[in-house]
Amino acid sequence: MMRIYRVAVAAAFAVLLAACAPTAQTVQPTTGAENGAAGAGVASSTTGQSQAGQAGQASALQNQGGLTADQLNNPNSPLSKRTVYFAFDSSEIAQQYLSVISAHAKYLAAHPNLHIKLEGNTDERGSRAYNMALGERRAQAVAKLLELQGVGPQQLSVISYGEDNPVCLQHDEACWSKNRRVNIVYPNAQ
Amino acid sequence: MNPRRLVRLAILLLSAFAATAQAALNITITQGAIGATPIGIVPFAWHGQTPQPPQKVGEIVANDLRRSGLFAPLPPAKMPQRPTQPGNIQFNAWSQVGVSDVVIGGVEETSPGQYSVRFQLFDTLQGQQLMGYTIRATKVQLRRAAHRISDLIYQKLTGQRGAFDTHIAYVSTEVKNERIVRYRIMVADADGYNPHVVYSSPKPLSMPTWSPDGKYLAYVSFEAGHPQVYLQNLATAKRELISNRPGLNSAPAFSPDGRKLALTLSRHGDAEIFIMDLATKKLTQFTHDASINTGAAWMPDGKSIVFTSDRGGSPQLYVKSLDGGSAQRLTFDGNYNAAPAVSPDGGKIAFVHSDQGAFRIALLNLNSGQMQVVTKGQLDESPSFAPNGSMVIYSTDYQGRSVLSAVSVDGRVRQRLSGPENVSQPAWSPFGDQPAQ
Repeated sequence: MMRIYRVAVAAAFAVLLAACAPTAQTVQPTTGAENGAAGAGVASSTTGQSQAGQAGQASALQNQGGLTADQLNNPNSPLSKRTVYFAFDSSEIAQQYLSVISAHAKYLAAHPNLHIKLEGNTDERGSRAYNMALGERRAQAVAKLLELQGVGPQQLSVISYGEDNPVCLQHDEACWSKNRRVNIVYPNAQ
Repeated sequence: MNPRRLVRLAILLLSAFAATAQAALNITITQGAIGATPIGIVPFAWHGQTPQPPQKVGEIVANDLRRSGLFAPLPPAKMPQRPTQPGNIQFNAWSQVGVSDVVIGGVEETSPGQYSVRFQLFDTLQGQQLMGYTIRATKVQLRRAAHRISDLIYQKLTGQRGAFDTHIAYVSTEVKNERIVRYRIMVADADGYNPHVVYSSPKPLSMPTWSPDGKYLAYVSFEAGHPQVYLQNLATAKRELISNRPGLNSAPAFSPDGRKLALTLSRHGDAEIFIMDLATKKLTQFTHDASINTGAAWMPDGKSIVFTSDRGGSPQLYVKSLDGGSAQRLTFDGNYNAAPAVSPDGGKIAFVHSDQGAFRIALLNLNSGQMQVVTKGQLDESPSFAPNGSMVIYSTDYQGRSVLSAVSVDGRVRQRLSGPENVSQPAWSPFGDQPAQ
């Protein structure tokens, strides 16, 4: 717990810096292969079902200033990035994901009735039971960062699938790096 | 052994797995032992209505004994003779080819669908019968009768109880379009035959574990969208939701007396091991450390638990008494030691070991403190001991697929069990019933 807290504080500071920066940061996954995974996630969020879900929130959004319903589905918005990747046996959030998490924090804080799932996952290596706990620790790390930036704890559900919900099934680092992830899952969006 | 009792048990246990049949796992012996004892298992006689017997009992027995690595059954073509009656055995002919133990027998169809299986074990040097039984069985019980014969022969000749008439539980996953579309908890015979679906779900199922009486499996299911621990009666298929708390519900492990279940919960944020009294469902927190604590494995005396924790910065094995006291670290070699399984005699721990590279199964001898890596794969995990402690079954990667492998505890014998789908997380069942008095 100590370690997560330390990461979270450092991350929150970095987010403040990022917020002052004049241009939006772009986020690159650590490998080329991971771009594919992120891309697939974005594509599926533009289904009819998710748009219907977002349409329902449009009026609430406009009342809270600045944000529009399109942001969640706009591929150019940082909100379209909903995957945070991790190093092996680590739950430390890499610098490159801080602006993405910050964007989600801002969006969720502006929509306090919105509830999301943080799904923690690991690669297939090692112990099943340990991986289940590690996936939870990763999702908790993202949750802590969101909470530090004003998201209500009741808006977040943390679930770990451990190594049992892989997005890539080959037994190599290219796949493993895609599977070591936290998915930020909005209702009615894939 | 009372044959009548044997048949009754066979009926009970075989009807316990009357679910959807799946393709059997294929066993390949990937490394045989040097110096295995030659044995003659003569093809059994057949008296019945059909030209061929429903099961080749002698062949099943020979395959069982060969898989143990301790025996080298003679191929029928190399046998000096193929007697099926005691009076026809030429003891000298066998001892001259170096075979001191010969098994003969026969299967008779006593009435339609009813069979009588007779076998006798002889010492060719003394010219004496060491053992002989008749077992009655229906058609579907014939394989089990053969495994019981293997167990009896193995025990007579080695002094150690055989584990042929046992089962393995495992998880099978079905892949479509590069995604897992179905998870199945399976139970098969220890030789991979008769696989049956225990539970099936489009959401992850994992970590099956046996109750000590072999009647229940506990496992983790995501069918509700989050992890829950279920207990399922194998005979009735009735399921009971046993743990559904916020956060993790994971890594179930029955106490040796079957009255308690260790499991991992995270209701206070971090993963801790709790002990549930199965009668009252009351929970007692077992670990108290703000790190990951999971993967409980009971010592056979039920007084302490071995588990995985990363309290020292990397996952390592610890042991802690249920009476209290602090946890003692057991592993020091490598940056990853996890998923412990304790041998039935409590003398060894099998676990996943890695030192910046491949993930392999290692054995830690608790008396000597020596660690030995016994597997050769890259992605070996989920070790589980045979109930007689002779072998460890685990999952591994073979040609891009997930398969099961077993290795003898001395590392001399290796076999692979592969199915049409990816299979993982094997758990070897306890013995089916009490040993012969």
